[in-house]
Amino acid sequence: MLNELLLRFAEWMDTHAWSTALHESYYMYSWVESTHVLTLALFFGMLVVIDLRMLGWAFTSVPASTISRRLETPMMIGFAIMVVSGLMLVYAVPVRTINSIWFRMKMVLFVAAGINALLFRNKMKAAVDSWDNDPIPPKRMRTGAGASLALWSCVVASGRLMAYDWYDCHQNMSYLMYWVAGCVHEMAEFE
Amino acid sequence: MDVFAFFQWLDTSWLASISKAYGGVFAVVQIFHLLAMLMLGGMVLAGDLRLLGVLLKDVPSEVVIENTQKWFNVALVVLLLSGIFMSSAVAIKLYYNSFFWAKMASLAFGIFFVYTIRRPLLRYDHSTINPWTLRLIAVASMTTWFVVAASGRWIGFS
Amino acid sequence: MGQATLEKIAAGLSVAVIVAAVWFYWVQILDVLELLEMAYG
Repeated sequence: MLNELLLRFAEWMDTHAWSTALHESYYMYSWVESTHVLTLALFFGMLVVIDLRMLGWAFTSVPASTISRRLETPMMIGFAIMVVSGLMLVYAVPVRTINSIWFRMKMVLFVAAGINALLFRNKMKAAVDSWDNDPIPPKRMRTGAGASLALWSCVVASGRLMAYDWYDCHQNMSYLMYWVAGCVHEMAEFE
Repeated sequence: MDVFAFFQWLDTSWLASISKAYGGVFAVVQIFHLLAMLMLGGMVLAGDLRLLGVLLKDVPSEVVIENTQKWFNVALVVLLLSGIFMSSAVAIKLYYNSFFWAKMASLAFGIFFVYTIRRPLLRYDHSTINPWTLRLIAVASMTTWFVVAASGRWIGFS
Repeated sequence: MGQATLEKIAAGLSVAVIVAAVWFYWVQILDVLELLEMAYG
């Protein structure tokens, strides 16, 4: 049901002239993709600095709140560019992306990383005064920072793996895999 | 020195026999290459934007440089090792790719610049260094690593 | 090497690399423009 809706949405985007134009434009598509990847250095790079501080592995002489507050803005600028360029990339290649297991995994991980980030932020705001100057923050903060690094790394990794066609709909796969990837047409042929 | 011979050797080395035979291994190494690149980029941005007075203005720039340099070193080692592994899979193709050579040239310059110029100079008290020199170093360093990363991405497109 | 010398080398090399990068991308932009002109007249 959800699979069909998603595919129909993707096929609808696919009929747009702009989508085809972006897909077929060698330079425009490559530039959008390069922007997406290189802006990661801003978003993910700042995230790494903040999380390393929260793990007690870097900037231990600087208050934790200073690092996180000062780097939040550049990180969010990077995040905004990521989202816009990412949406453009989906728009350029809608059907294959929607039917990509890696893309689906990426979106799930993205939501998980987002929830972790919000929880982490609240925990930090609530109790930062008690450990702000400690070189090594309390264990619950370190766990949150480790989870943040792991989850966002997995988001990046699944994004990278979208380039591979190992589990694309045209491959011979089990019904379950077709269902996970949302290969509606291939599922229909299965019966 | 025969550069092509090196690429021919790499193309048939034991590294290549792994990187060519196992697509999964190659993909995983590629992910680590990307993650290390992001870490390196983050450290370069944090350090150089501090030198430019954009970020972390209330943290002494000596502290920022010292902390980012440590993780820069880690990222660079991961990048070099994973990069050599990845190039063994497509050694001959890379030899004829001009963006690969653009990347290698800027990478060589970047490593030289960091370890013989930027780091030794920034060991001095930053307040004794001409602020314009600091700004120039910051822009040059960000530019160099941008060219390295962007040319690397472009190898895949060309 | 003293600080003053190192500073001079750093500044000179920095300017050189910035100019080189601008040139590198300028050449590429010219290439793209030429391609576009070939494609669309």
